[in-house]
Amino acid sequence: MRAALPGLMSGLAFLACTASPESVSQPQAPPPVASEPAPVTEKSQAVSAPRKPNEQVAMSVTWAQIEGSGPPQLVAQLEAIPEWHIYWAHPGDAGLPTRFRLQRGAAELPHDTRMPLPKRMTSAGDIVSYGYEGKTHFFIDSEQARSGGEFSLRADWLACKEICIKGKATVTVPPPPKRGSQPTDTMTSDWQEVPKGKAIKWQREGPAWVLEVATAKRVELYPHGALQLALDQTRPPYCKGKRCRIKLPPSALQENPTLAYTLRIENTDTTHGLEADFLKGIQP
Amino acid sequence: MIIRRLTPLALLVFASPGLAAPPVLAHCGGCGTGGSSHGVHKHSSKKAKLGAPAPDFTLTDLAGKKHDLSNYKGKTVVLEWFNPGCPFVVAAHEKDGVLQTMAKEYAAKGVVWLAVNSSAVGRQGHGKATNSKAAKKWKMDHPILVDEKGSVGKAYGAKTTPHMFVVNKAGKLVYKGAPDNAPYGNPSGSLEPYLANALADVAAGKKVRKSSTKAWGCSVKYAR
Repeated sequence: MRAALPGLMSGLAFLACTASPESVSQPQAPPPVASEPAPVTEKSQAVSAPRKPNEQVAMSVTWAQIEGSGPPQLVAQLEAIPEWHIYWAHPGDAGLPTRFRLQRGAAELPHDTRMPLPKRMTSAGDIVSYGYEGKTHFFIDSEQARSGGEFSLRADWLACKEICIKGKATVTVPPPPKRGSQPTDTMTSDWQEVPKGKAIKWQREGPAWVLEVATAKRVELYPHGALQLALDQTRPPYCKGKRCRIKLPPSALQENPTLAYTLRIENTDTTHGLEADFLKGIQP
Repeated sequence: MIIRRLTPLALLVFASPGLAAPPVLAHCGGCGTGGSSHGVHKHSSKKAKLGAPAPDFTLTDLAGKKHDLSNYKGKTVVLEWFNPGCPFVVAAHEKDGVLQTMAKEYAAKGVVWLAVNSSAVGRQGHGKATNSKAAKKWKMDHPILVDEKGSVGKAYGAKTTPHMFVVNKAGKLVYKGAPDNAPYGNPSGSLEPYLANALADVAAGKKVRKSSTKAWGCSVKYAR
């Protein structure tokens, strides 16, 4: 049985979606890589695949009019069931990045995925991860996807609660309409939390590098892969209140071509993100 | 948003992992004094640090045999954090997985391989039956050590399963991180066999070129 998506998506692109868990808590073979995309059942109608009892995440995709006069934006919505989460592009100590793959026939379509700010999650043993609970929107930019016929979009995620289950879903996406759907409130909110690139200068303070951010509430720093490794000896919180402080071994500055991070800046009413590279932002 | 610059106060001071050099591992004869019968020894380094002596510990395997890390002094030791219910561990140990045959290959070269399970009672991966079944299925000849209190895992800073640590013949920690850069066999870029490279460097008597890598996997299921 198929259930209709919220009315906001009707009249626009939409798709059939298959989601499947790939591994369970007992030893099993690694999941197969390939999967057949589900066909488009009714073009221009909002549809979703029924969630099977053992599925943790459901996917739906639409072309949305995120920016008023711009082209429609491909938006994938992943919704994890209560108490489960999926991971950000930089998952932290544990987990697996959520990834998207676009294909038209056998050809991979190059794309850029923009993810909203994740939630910082901690578990016993000082294990810090970054991910999403509930409904999250991922914004996928692909010039090639916009310019041709239908294509498949596959998402791969790791859903975790007490145990972790690898899952995937594939949908067939029709070409974009002239104008995308009106974004939902949560979609708009997620879009506003997509970090924007910015050069940020840090200053030395004794053995540490320090950044102070003018914000009404607080700031958090989410290290990307190489910076996280460099920070292993100085565990979070890197930021306290409006101030971030990190120490880096010299090897981190010498060996890594990039030490990127994301700042989460919370004000009283809004939250936004900045993405920067420590190596490009330290004081000469 | 305004970013305010702060006045630099002093030059950056860096800690060198190799500077602190407490005594290397020494067998403590069961640790009747100053030690504990299980877990990390009280007289040992509290936290694992690259280039420093690896924290000594005593843990019991599934057959009830005690293993003191210090007993393996003079041999290269690989510690593999293990949870048979974690899908990353499953993928690593099953067909074509990075850890499927590695322990056997290196055992033939004299390397001691110890799996350590820090899953707490009641959490995923805990229990003799579960671990024994996995060991049989995956034809693991090496012991699985039970660390259900998590003290050894926390001393080593084990975050994921798998999370790999290499202790050299002198008892110093020389590698920590992932087996490779390919969770589920999918490398990010070209495949980099981090652990094999580290073991090759150790065997050649060289400094491990890449001694710390980003681990991947499930979180270790420590007691909450």
